[in-house]
Amino acid sequence: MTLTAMKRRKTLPRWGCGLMLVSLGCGGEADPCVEGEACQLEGEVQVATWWGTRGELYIPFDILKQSLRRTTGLEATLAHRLQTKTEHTRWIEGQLEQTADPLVPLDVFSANNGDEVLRWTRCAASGIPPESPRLVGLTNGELGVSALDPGWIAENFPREVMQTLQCEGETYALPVGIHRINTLLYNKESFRKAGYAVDGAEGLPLPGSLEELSQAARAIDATLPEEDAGSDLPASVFAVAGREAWTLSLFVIENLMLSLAQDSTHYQNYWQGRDCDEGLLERTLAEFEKLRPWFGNWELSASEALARVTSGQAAMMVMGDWAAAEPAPEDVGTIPFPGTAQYFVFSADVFALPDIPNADPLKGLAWLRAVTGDETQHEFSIAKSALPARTDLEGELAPGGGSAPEWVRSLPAIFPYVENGPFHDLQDVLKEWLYARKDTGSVLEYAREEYSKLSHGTVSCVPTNVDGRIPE
Amino acid sequence: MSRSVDATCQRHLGASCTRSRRRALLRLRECLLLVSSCLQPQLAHADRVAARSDLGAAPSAAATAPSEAPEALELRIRYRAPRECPSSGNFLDALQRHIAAGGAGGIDADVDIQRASGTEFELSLRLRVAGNVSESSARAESCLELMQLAALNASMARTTSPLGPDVLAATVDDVAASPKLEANAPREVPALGRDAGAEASARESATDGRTRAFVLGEMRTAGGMLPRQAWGPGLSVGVARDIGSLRSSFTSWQGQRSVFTPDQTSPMTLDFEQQSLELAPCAGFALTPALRVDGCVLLGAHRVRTNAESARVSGSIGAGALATLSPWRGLRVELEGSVSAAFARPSFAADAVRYLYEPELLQPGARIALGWEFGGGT
Repeated sequence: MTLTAMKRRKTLPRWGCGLMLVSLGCGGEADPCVEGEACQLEGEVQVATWWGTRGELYIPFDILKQSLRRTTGLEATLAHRLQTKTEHTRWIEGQLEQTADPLVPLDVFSANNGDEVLRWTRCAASGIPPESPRLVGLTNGELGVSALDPGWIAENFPREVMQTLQCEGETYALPVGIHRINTLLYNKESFRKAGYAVDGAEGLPLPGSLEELSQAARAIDATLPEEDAGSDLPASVFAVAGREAWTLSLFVIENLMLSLAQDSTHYQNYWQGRDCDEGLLERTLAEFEKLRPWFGNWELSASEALARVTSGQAAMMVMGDWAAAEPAPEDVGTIPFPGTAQYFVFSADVFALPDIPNADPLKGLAWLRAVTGDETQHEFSIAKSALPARTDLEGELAPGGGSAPEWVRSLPAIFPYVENGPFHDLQDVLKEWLYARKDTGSVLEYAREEYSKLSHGTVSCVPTNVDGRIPE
Repeated sequence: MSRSVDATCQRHLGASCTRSRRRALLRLRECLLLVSSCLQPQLAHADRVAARSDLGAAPSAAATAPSEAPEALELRIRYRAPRECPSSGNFLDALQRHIAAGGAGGIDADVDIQRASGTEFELSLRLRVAGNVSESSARAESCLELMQLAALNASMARTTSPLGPDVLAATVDDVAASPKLEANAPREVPALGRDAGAEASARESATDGRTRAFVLGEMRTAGGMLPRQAWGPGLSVGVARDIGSLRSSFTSWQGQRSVFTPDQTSPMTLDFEQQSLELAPCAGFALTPALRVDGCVLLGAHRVRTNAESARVSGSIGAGALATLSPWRGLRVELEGSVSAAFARPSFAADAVRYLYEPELLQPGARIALGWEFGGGT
């Protein structure tokens, strides 16, 4: 915990010190901070994230950097230049396990909520937890005055999110933004042409159920534009980013399956191993199969899919609300995925502090404070099209309110985060199924095998209890 | 003062003198002439004694100087006065003139004239007559008048008087009101008639001209220095002489705990501890014997530390208005209001990464102190 203070402000003569202060001593350091200005510090906060290297995430990350500069005078520096989350996560593993070469200064890193954070604590969902947390406990009194106050955390952040970041009463990460991943992005002009009420205009209500979604798909299919001259792909109702398998998992599980479940508990019990309703999974695949004719090409990347929706070559896509940050709001709108309006399936962007020799926890805490300030939260949420992490800024979506949706964890916040953990390759299996390399029976068989790996499972998902039949 | 003279005249001369109470100064001379008429035989005797004495051989030095001549008038006089006052020789000359007017017995007197303030002198006169000791004091703007008064009263001590030696005294008004005091006008002026308490109080106020030391316990308050209004006990020591004084104070401020929530983030608690030293040269004057006012320059140095950072040292310079009460003997009460400007102000941060607090530039303060003053010699 070493900080080097730089006296950028000219130090006033300390002649008063020698005047009559022999008994007081003159050991004081120069002022590090000035009101209204950034603290006069020399140093950088080493931040590991893939955001700063990705064009669509550069602006949100820059807002956080500026907040740090404004409040502390520290500069945020990217600890690596990796552009995908997979590479970033692997890089973090090497630093925290001290196996990377080289080991570099790292003060704070980004992640998503759930076991991606808790795996480094004694609350790891599977595997052998580390003997001591590899992350800094944010409320640890040893951090001195910079330690975060547990009461402030409880009061200002959604309990549902914090439960995925806390272990044995300690908090190991703070969210900076919360995304709703049960989101349908739609091209406004395509829906208008199909007779739907967009932006308050007269017309059919936007789809609120799976049945209405199918009706909308049929209506839009009849009004699709001609093929874009610059593209060899025909226009389609859906843009499916099947090249990145995680988007398929998001579409099928967190949207379709949740929509088909009786309620969120039913849905979550399946994935937490408490109730193997294989019939629910089977119906989900069937519903996905019904939509497949409107997918057009499903080998798109997430960016390509969004571009097609933006241009009108596709009418809609299923993605987290972060995708709405790029297109103009006049072109693309968002609604909860049909049948899930009562749910807020959340995935939080969080920052955690590594407990490694090359880290300065105080700088990491300075970053956390900078990114969770009310003003920064407001700016960041707009730039990243996310819900502010602070409940006082979340408005009607804040959990606990009268009209607030029910907050539901996304799959990454439910599953253990290990290389060979249960369902770790679910998205790949779904992709195989979409590409017709696997049939539905194979997917169900895969699910049965993986289900037994769930550490919290109390009911085995075997053929004898498929469709909810409990073995005698 | 004229009241005392008038009262004495009334006692000795009857109603003819009572009118002088209302027109004391103008009538003083007339009254004194009446007194001298009443005491004419004794004055003549005094003349004869004066003729036998050899005042020319009287000590010219200010130090105690008993007369050696058995036939001469016995004098034991100690005369002390500031440089700007008449010399001891002047005093003896004046005394000689009064003694020449008559009287009997020796003179044993301590004459002590000191500057009481920027505009006044104070006479302390101690007379020993026939084994009795009497003390009196008086103030005047003119040191010459006080010297003359001392000479007059000293000469009257040897004059045989039905009043007795313990009550004799002329006043400075007597001297000032009489344009012919320089002459050898014989006169008898009775005692001031002050009560013992008033006289003691006057003695206390007369210590302004000496070098004194004082020790005071104090309570201070200051705004803008710490996050909340600061309070702290302290100790002051100082010296005073003539119009000036110098005091040095140490204050240990009560610790403060403040909670900061910048940008509505997690609260950070800082515990402040501060000690201050202050050096204050002051100058002023006495409004009354018991009340003095001063203006002070305040040079402060402050050491502050928090639970998040090491100690910082800063300074301040300011001005203060000081009122000093001396209600009884050496008891001293000081009341002070001040405004200081801080320089080299420290800023306080959490672990040197987040600004939290900086003292204000202008810091009003107040102080009340209670203690004791110890007198000293010139």
